[in-house]
Amino acid sequence: MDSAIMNVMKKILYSIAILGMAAGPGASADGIGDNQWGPVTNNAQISLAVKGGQRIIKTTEPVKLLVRFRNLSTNETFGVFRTGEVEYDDTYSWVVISPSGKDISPDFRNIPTSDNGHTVYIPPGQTNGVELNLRNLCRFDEVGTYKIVAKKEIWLRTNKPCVAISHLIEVTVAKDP
Amino acid sequence: MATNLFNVVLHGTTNGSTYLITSTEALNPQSNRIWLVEGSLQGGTNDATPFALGIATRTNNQLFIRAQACDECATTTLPLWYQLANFGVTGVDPNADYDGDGVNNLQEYLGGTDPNKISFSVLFDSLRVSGNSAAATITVLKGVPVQMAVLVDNTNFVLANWTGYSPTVPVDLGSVEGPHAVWIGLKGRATDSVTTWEGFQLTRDTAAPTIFITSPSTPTVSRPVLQLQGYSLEPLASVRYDVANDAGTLTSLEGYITRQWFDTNLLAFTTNWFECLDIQLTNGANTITLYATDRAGNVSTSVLSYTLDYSGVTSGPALTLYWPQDGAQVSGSTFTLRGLLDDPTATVTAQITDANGVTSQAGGLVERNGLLWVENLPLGPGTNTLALMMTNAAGLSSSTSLTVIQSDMVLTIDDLSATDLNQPTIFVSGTINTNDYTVWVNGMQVTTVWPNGNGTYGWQVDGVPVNDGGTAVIQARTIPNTDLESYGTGGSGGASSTMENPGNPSSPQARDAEADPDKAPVVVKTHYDITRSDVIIYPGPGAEPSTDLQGILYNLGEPGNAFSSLCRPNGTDEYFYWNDWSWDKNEAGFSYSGVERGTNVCGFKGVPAYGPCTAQHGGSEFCEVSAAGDVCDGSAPLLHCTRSRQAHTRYELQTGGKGLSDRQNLFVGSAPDTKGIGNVFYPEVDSYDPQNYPIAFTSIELGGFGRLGNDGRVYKVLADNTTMDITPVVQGSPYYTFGDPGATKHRLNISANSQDCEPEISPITPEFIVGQFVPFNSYWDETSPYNGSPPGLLPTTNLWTLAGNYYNDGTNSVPGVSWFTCSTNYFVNSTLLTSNSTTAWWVSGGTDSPDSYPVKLDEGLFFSNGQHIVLNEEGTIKMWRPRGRISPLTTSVVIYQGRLKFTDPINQREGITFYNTISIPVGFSGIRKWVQVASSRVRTLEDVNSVVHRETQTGAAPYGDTPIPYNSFDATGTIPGDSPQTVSLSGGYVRAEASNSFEMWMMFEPPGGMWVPLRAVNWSWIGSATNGPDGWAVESGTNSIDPHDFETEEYPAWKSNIRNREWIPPL
Repeated sequence: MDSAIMNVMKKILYSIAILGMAAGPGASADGIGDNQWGPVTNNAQISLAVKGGQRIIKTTEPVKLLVRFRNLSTNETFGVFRTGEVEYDDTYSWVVISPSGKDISPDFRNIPTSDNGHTVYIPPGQTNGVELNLRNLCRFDEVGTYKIVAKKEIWLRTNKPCVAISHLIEVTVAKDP
Repeated sequence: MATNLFNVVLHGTTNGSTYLITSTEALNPQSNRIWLVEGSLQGGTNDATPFALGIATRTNNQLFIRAQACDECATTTLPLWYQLANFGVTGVDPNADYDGDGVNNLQEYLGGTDPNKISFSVLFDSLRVSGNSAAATITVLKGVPVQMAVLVDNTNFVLANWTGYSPTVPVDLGSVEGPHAVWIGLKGRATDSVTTWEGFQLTRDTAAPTIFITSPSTPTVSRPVLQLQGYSLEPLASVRYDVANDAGTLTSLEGYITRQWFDTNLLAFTTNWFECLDIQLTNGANTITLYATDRAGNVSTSVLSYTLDYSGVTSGPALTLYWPQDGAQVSGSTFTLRGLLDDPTATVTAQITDANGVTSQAGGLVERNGLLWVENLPLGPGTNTLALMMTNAAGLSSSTSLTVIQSDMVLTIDDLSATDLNQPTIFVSGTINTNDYTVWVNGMQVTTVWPNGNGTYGWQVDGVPVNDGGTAVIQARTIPNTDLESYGTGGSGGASSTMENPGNPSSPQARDAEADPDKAPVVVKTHYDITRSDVIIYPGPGAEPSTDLQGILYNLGEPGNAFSSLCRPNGTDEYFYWNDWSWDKNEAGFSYSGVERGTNVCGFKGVPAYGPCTAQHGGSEFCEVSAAGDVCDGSAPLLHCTRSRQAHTRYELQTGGKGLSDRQNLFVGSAPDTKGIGNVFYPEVDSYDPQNYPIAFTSIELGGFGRLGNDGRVYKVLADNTTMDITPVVQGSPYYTFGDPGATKHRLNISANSQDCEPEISPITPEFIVGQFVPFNSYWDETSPYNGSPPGLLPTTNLWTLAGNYYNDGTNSVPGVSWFTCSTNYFVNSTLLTSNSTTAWWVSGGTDSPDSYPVKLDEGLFFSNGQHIVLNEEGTIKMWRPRGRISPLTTSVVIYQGRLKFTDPINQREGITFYNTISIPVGFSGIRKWVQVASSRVRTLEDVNSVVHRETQTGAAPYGDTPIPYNSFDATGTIPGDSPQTVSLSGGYVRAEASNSFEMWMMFEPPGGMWVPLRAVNWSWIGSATNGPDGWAVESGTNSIDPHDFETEEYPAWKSNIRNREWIPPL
């Protein structure tokens, strides 16, 4: 991801962060609140949440996130590829900003992806999701609040991709005593 | 003082007076001097008298000797000459008892008897010798021997060559084969010291025993288990054999002496019968090399050839059904079928179906003698149909079926576990729920019946006869009182009971119940004749010729166990008149040989008041040497008595239980104290022989058990329902007495997951499913007739042998690398198989029916007496394996989602979908798991500069397709699929290639168990794409099309994670 794209992403991060903060009080206990979906792109939306609800994660804990996909169309099935090792999937891209403002986003050019996988087909009006541990891709050693945005290729029946972007979430990491 | 030997001369003494001789070391001070009595001297002679100090503590150089007139000392002290002659020193206490015979030294002196009478025992290495010499070890029981002599085949005792005493004596038997009379004599210091002779018969035997085989009688046999039987004409020490056939060679297997014959003419054990049980044969030639060793150590080798040939077998086994007969009404919920097969090596399966159609199966037990037992068959209400299938080793079968009706009447037999079933008759009790019938037990009518108050009646009967064999059959039968007043038809009346016919009367309305407990081992005194004959030839007052039979044991196994002695008073020599070859209690054929009368040898001086012969007439009576009645000193004979002692006893161990060729148990033999006879004139250890002495356990061989340990025990693994001679033998001595030996039985059981898995213990074989952890343990059976853990048992060694494809351990295939990266390679850890208990899981098993796997335990037992035994236990488990199936469905190689990919987006199908089924046996559960391993992986990208970037694996092949277990499933979570692909194809590249070769496994995992492989499928795809004017397009693409799966027991293995890779050069 070149620096120009990064700058764009950071802007996106910033704008979504504002939206996310506005939507914060509506988060549900499992972190899958309806109002936490990202912007609609080609009738596709994704959401990002901390598994178990918004909470402080210890430095020794996995950073388990829930990613959900929603097909808002009325007549088109979406295809979402899912690898066996769900974290190692280059149909995602992640933006992860550390508490100190450092960009620690994973670069799949340097991370071998899972070799097996299958396509999850999401019919119109349906949702699907996956749980993954982002600590497999990023170091969360720094104590403080991280800002995270996910982007996922969602393929339309026309064999054309769209990239759905999640809203920004904040994940607070505290030192494990 | 250099010596304590002096000569003293008394001067000025009075002739005939007696003088007390005392000594002291110091005269001053007077208060400390102590005068010690050295003895007495007669006055009236100026001859020097030897004088030797007997007080060894005197060490200074001064000695003062005092002589005091003391006429009374003639009867209160020991003369110096007497002391020196008999003891070698003076100062001997006259009140002491030098030879421990109960008569003190002074009394011996005054009575003119020897104060140093010797008694001793002799133990030879063996009484039968294969060479020219024998070695004897002497143990002195009483007295202090100074001189000794050995005579071989020579009774000239007077001219015996006396030498200094030594406790070990070499005996030269010469080169003449056969029996030799050996006399060993000991005596004290005095020239007139009484000689004690002990006589033995040793046999020089250099010939190997002659062996005769009685069974099998033909060189061709048609049964795969051989019972080899034969005999030897002389006693055997051991029988061992080797077996060589197509299965290999087994060496030094042990046979057993089953019985010995005592020849009352030869007075010796002669014929020894032996058997070698349960020899497993293979088709074709089998060579058995038999080694029989006699008691002299000579070994005969017999090479026996047997051909196992089934061609002469033309029909299946024939069954004679004992019980229950067709249509019998049997009480209870289970019963044991009994019968007799004409082929002991046949196998039998039984299937019983109750009135509701519920079917159960069980295997039968067939004994060496053909007895068939199908134990604990379930019996349901109403009519049960029992089908028996019998198959011989030739593969020929026969069958029979019968019906057994569960009795509407309740008839029970109380527990017999505390009953000694080896008694000829026993007490039996039970219950019945009607008083309209009469109970009979093995032919005995029950007359004692009482109401229990709950509608049932108790009953009991004594004197119930018990059948022969290792298993008791106690059959209770009710006969309606209306049938000939309950007497029914037939019956033994309790006179006898056999397996075939326990003896009960019959009746059409009879109801039966049976108990068939195994008998405990028993030691049987199969022969016991003891004769002590005191024949008075010239009877004195009140004495009559008599033969006295007493319960005395004397001598076993060797000629010469009968002898007579002739007694005579006042003689100075003594010997035993030893009849060395024949004996008859009526003196018929009585023949003396061996010891002859010699010069001045008149007879035996009996010990006063000992034994019936002399007891009647006192110690002063004497007996003539010859039957003619001449007396050597010319005096009139008062009594001539001959004493004859003879006894022999045989003991057999009956091991009890069922004689199955694959059943063996540990037996512990024991013998109570065995005593040697101190005075062979009284050839029994009793009140007449206070000089008896203990014989070490380790000198005793308990027949086939072998030599006792130092604790009196001996351990042996023996087959059930066999007989073995266990007559105690002290090889080096003919004179000893022992009590009844004993034996206990100990059974080591093995269990699988706490279920008995030995077929003869549990009719139901434990069943498991692959992947299930199966813990194996062993334990000592505490129930009758077994006695729990054997005494003296130390920690054991163990070796488990399991069959089938099983594992008990695993390790990472790449040392030091985590499981997720490399596979665990499972293996059989032999060390874990040497534990007391061990656990394994199986991969192999049966799908339609479970596979049977033998489970063996070789347990090495070490005992506190140093003995060692290896027990071989064998059980069976049954193993199920789910039936699985993978039916892959493949698609094609396409450009989709911006990548070269193996998938079908149109029909929304993966590149390969592993449709599958699994059928898990009833009663088990488990889940499927999937593992995929890649043997190869290729990804290349060619950039616009014609540089080919290759994604290269950095780890070793094969590659685990992580995650493991496999994680790409359809929405049901049960159908795995895969759509492998390239990276996203971008405009900077012109060509791409991709391929994979995979193997996908279906694994099965039972709850709490290990996963095991069931099925697998190999599949692959390969494709290439080019980036043309219209964008990326498939150049070529192929794949394995709907590949077939296959059964596999091989675990998937991988050495690295498939994600261990890098692009070279980097993208």
